[in-house]
Amino acid sequence: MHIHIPDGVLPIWLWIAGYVLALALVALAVRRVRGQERKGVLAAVMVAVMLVVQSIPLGVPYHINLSALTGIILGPWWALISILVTNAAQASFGHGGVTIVGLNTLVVWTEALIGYYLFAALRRRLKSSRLRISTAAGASTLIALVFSAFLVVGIVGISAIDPSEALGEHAGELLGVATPAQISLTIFATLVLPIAIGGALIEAVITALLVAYVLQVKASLILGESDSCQRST
Amino acid sequence: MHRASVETKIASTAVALGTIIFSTMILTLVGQFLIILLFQFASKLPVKRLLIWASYPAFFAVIFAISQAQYSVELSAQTMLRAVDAALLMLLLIGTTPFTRIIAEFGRVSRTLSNLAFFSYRFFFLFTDESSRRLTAFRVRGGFQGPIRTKIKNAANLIGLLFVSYMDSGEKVYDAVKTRGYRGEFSTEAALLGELTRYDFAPVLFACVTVALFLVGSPCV
Repeated sequence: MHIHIPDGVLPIWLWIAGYVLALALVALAVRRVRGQERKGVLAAVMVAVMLVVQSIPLGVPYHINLSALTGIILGPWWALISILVTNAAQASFGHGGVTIVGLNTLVVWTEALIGYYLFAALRRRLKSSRLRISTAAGASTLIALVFSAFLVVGIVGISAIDPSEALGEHAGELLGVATPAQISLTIFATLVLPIAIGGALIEAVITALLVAYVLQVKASLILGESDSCQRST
Repeated sequence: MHRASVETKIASTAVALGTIIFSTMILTLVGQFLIILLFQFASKLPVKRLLIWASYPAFFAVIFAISQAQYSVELSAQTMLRAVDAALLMLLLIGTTPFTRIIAEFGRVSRTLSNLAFFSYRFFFLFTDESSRRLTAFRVRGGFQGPIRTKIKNAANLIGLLFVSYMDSGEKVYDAVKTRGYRGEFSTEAALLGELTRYDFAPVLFACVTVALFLVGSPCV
């Protein structure tokens, strides 16, 4: 779930922490993917695909992500880099706050990670038929998106923590700003979770149908990365 | 604004974004909104269209505004105004700066990121064109006719077809650039820092005005 929190809502320490963690992981990812030029171009394709589908207006405050599918196709490290570029591009058009790009990257990467590992695990347990593999992709997507929806609610919940109270007065001073975000978590969760879970169901179905088609035409796109995961584990 | 250097515009955008984030007075945020619109108008950008685009983040900001309303209505109004101001600010930067120049600046940090962004930028326009053509062909051939189950199946096949087509395009582009000597990175010429020109006056003025508005409206001053 792509967070659409505007700038200025979350406290400074939270979005700076998001940026530090996201950029540290991206730096690690860049080292891990060195030399993978062809994969890099496919990652660019997925960035463009994510930007295209996220621009499709559905009439509700939700849009398709394809982040779990990105994880399944690209693997965790290229997925992380792709997601950062996608979020940065969207923030440049006001789609999500600029200060939230770090946190957004972490949340959406969680979807890609869960999608990747869960899909690989389900494939190991199920027989390799097109129906089962596409169902596994859909199920992985659903679980990944529902988890990330709760993760977003958790982030908003954390934002209400006053660092001075949680870590002590000196820690609050060191962090610079100790003003917690004033958001009613109950209202926020009540508004967001039904939409997010409904959207997750839709995206899971779309992902399953898309994977079913791709397996007919170009199975290596879907099975290639998961086979690597199986070999490494 | 169009002829100012990319570095100056990015720096002034960062300063202005900071003033928007830290502004707590409604009047200051409204003033920043008007200043951004003024600079957009002066830069001959389509202000009406940009306002429509900025309504999208405002729409999402409503969820947070509702969640904050129990604490203070003023806080909700600040959230809405910050969302719109920040979106318009980014649109001012994007509208006056070629995307490729901004991407080239990322190359200072990581060539992998800038390469990815360059390819993605190219692919985005290719894919939207192709999607539009295939969707038209799909409609003409009666893809959306028939019972609901047929429509869903046809739509799913269309999405799958588009996806495979995109991946094939990506591989063809890679093969094409590889034969032209691509070794994993593009050469970009980001300008040397410190090369300011008279055109940089506009973004510097913009940053100064937003800071002045912020200071005037700040309760600490």
